[in-house]
Amino acid sequence: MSKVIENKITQRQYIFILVSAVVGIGILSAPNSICQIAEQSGWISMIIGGIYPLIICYCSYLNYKHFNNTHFYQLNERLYGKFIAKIIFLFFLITMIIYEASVLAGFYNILSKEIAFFLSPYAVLILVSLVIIYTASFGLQSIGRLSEIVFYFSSILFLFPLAIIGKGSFLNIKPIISSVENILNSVPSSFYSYAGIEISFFIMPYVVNKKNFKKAGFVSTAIIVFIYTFLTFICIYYLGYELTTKIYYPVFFIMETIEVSIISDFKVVFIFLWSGMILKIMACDHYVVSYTFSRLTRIPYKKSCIITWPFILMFAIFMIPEHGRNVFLGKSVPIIVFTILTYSIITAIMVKIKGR
Amino acid sequence: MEPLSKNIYQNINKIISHLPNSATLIKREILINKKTKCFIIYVSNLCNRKSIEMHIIHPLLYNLNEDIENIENAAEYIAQNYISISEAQIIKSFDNIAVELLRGKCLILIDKINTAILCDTSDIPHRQIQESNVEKTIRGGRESFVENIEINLALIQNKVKSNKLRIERMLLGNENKTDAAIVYMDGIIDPIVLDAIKFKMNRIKNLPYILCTGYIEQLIEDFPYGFFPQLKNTEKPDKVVSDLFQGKAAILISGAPYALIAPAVFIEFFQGFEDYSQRLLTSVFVRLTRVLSALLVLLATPIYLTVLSYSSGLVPIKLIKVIYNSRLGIPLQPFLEILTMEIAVELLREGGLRLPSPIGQTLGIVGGIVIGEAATKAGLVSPTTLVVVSTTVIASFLIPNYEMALSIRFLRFPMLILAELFGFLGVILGFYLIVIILINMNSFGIPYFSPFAPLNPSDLKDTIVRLSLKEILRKPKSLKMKKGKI
Amino acid sequence: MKKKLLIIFNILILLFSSCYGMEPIENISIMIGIGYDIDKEKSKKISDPIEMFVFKGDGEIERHISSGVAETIYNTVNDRQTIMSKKFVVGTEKLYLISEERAKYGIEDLLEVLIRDENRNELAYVAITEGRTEHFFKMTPIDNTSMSEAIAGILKFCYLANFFPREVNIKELLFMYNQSGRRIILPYIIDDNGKPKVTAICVFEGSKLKHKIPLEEAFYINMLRSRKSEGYISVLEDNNPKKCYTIKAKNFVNVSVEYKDTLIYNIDLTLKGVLKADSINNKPLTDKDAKKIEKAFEENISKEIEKTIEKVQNNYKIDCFDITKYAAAKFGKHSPLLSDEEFQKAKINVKVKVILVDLGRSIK
Repeated sequence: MSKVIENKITQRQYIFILVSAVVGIGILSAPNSICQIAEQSGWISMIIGGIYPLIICYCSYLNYKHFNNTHFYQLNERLYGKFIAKIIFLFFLITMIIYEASVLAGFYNILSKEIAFFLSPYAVLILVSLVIIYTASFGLQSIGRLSEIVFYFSSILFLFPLAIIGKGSFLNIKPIISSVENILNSVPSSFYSYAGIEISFFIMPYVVNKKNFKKAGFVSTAIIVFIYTFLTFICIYYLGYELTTKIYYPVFFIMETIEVSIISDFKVVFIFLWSGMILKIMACDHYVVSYTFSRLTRIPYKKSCIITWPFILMFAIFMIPEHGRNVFLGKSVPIIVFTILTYSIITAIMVKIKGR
Repeated sequence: MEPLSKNIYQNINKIISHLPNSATLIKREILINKKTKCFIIYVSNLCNRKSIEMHIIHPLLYNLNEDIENIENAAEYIAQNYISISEAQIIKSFDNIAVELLRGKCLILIDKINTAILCDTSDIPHRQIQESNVEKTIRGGRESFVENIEINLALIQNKVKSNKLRIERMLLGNENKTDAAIVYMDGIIDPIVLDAIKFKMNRIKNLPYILCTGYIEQLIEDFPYGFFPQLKNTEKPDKVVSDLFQGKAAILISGAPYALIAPAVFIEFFQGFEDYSQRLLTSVFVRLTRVLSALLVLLATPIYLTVLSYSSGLVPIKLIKVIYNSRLGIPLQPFLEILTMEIAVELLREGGLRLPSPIGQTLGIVGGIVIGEAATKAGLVSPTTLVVVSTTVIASFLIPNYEMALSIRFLRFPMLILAELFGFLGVILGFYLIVIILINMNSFGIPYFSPFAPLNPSDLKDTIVRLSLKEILRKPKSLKMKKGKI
Repeated sequence: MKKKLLIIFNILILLFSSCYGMEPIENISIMIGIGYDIDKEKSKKISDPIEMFVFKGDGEIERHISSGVAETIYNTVNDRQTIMSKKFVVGTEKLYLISEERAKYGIEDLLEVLIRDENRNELAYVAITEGRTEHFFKMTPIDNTSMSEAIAGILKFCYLANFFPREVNIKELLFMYNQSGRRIILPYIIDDNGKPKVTAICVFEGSKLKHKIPLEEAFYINMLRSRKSEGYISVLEDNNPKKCYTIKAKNFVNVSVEYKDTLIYNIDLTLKGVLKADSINNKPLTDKDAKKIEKAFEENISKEIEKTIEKVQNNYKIDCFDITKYAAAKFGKHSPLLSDEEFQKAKINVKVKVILVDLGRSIK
């Protein structure tokens, strides 16, 4: 009785877990990658790219509609048989390990430039990942609570760009459509910003009250798309697409140019709030990693939290140089995203056929 | 449960064997109707002798002229007809007789009768109800609890005129039985929370002795190694009443002038009772300053340390000029400088705490001069460090709950070490670790960090800010299991 | 589980005892200004003087100028650290000075460094100097602790007169260099009897200094290129300084572009002004008089601006008005219309409107 053991989350927490599983390093670098092709119309590609999280959310809604609260592993078993279900889970495990490690490495890269330049990468990685494992070991409920509170807490961060709203120029946004072809071409690269939404499949069965479950998916998608589009728009509006494509983390550049009296720039406050988001996204990823791992190996959840730790660290150390990370992610993420997209569409069709 | 025997000496020996062997135990022998032996047993310094003489011995000696040996239920008959004490009880077994005698009751044993009469003649010396020294209020009742549980319960009962009030008595301790009571409002408190409290109280019944509410607090809380207090301690009956109406339970124990309130959530420790009697806007302002001061205590020195040691780029150049100048010629490393100051302040605080107030003041003045003037003049400590450290000390006094203030003050040291080890990253990770720990704590099944996580929008009206009393005088939802559980 | 984590954490703390070679604040050189000079003849061409604070304790602050000579920008640190007694850190600088010679030679390396090195202060002010920058750092500041702060102050408040744009900092420099249809325009500082003074603006072509335009012309260029800046304008009668109208004006600019064989820029320049002096009319000002004054200003300014535009299009031959960006916004960022040739051919119509919002307290 003393502890609330059941691992259940509310619908609101479901929304925020989805948001926190997606919004992370990407908010700093997404404007850069999307403007490479789409130029000043990158923000439109960002909106169109929102179709990816929408599809995934809808698919998980279909899963719920036809199979109720069947856990994701059992659902796969029923649809595809035991062997293929294992392969699918292995795929998700590797995907999530890649996501988590890339976020961890990216986090280190930014810290190493701003506040932790004196620490060795191993120290930072071990320290941060320990906090993550500690967080994730409490289970989904704790992650739900964390996502909820940190979201409110760190959404102050999205108010900062408002400080420069008078200083930018709409000339940088115009002409609004650079070329339709370019906009459509850069939509896939916006998909990568939205990677991470797959957690929806895993946490869906734990949501307590599913009255407006379809709407919850849409709401979280809307929040995610809004955040990304807003930041991309602000970057282009303030920096111009030319500078946006030259800087790895354009949002960071904006923060450095906001002047306040007590601290020399907003960067510090930004890092403070943004770290919360990073911890959230990694905790979500680590939850899925441990969950899939424990399902595959039948090792209890808490133990698998620790067992998977070395893998994450290994991958992260491998991904530390920023250019190497980008090359690796540039190759792997498209494959992952399109595999997941195909998988979810096939699953949705299978569910419709096999389900009630 | 051993019944009383008909042999009066056997009974007396048995009772005495359960009692401390002391001179204060009185065995007064009288003859009823000049032939039946009768013993009146009591502990002299716990009883009111006058009332024993007047209302027990006098009627038994002079008024009772019947032959009681032939009367059925003689003890009851005597109690009904001759004893003029307001509370008299017929007992048939040895159960708890010793405890009752030590509570100041008086036992009448009559020869050849296997029942006895227990009369309440207690007159235990106790402190007068006074104004609290620890929890001062400007507006609100002045009276505070005393060490006597009966008076404490009376103080609560006097304030709650509701038929929902329930008082459950229990005895704690194996060796030394202590009176305790759980007070709650039936129908307002969540039954699951109440069950949890009762379950935990029953679990600690068999410990050898419990002297103070602090013992109970540590024994029944969910996270004994946690940083934060999970039960509230208060000296004020009106605070207890306010909490009872919010759906909480109070635990009182004989010998402690405190009531324990369970369950408690984090933000409550930052709310003063007076907030509700003060004007709306001022009380909102006061609450905001409290939260700010808590953050200041936790973060100010670590951030100052990172600025000194690692990230001087965090502050603008004008501030750097000031800090740089003050640091020139200081022999200590920044970390050691801040740490020594913090420890010195803690020494002063802890030292002044238990000293009688005139000496305590001297200590404060001397300490202030030594640290403030001499240390900076001697060039041991930089003036800016002094400003930062003393600001945090002052800020820590703003937190209304003493235990919470201690906890947060304590957390400053791990944060300082983290800042020294990992710079600003350490501060960030430390802060988020505290948040993670907070959101994973529960107090009797209630999430400790509610109503923030899990979020309960309607309960946010009375947290860091408070809305008008019309809005908040209802039962908080997050103290109910059904909704606030997750 | 929790215990294990605690043990791991303790071991970690033991492992990472805090010896990172980090120095407390008093061992770091607090740099406030950087200069960029060049010696074209020497083998080590780059010479970058920096100005930094020297703290003497008891609130006394002095400054020290240390110059590094090397092949590249960052190699100068190699040179400088050999003579410095403190740790060299970038990030606290308030001012960047670039010598005219260096600017003519090109500042591509500096622009690249400013983007790549995230520790640089994007809010530092930047200007071009007449001679060597070191000379400017060595001047004696009047009411500041350092020359860098003095010059940064000049640049900070220069928008209050002469219609200089509000932001003359590194951030704006990067914007001007990178955004399509724009070019770098920076203030020019000379040594005026041992004091720094802004006398001109420098217009860059790419990363090289192309033209130096004196303030008399730059006044009207500034009026068109900046937004919501301030300046004082006077209309004299018979060239007699005692007979004049003067307004303190704030400029509002609206530009629209169209293309009919050539580019046509229609610029609406609105000056909202406060009448500061009127020694021509000797009676209480009526609404009609106010209109007349507005008219006089409009004619005067239109004439001057037309003259300036003609000179820019024919003599300087590059867009100094920062208006090509409007063409870029209309016709696309890669449009061929953004070239200098198109600018020279372009028709620039300026419609000046002066509005007197306040006539002052005098009623005469």
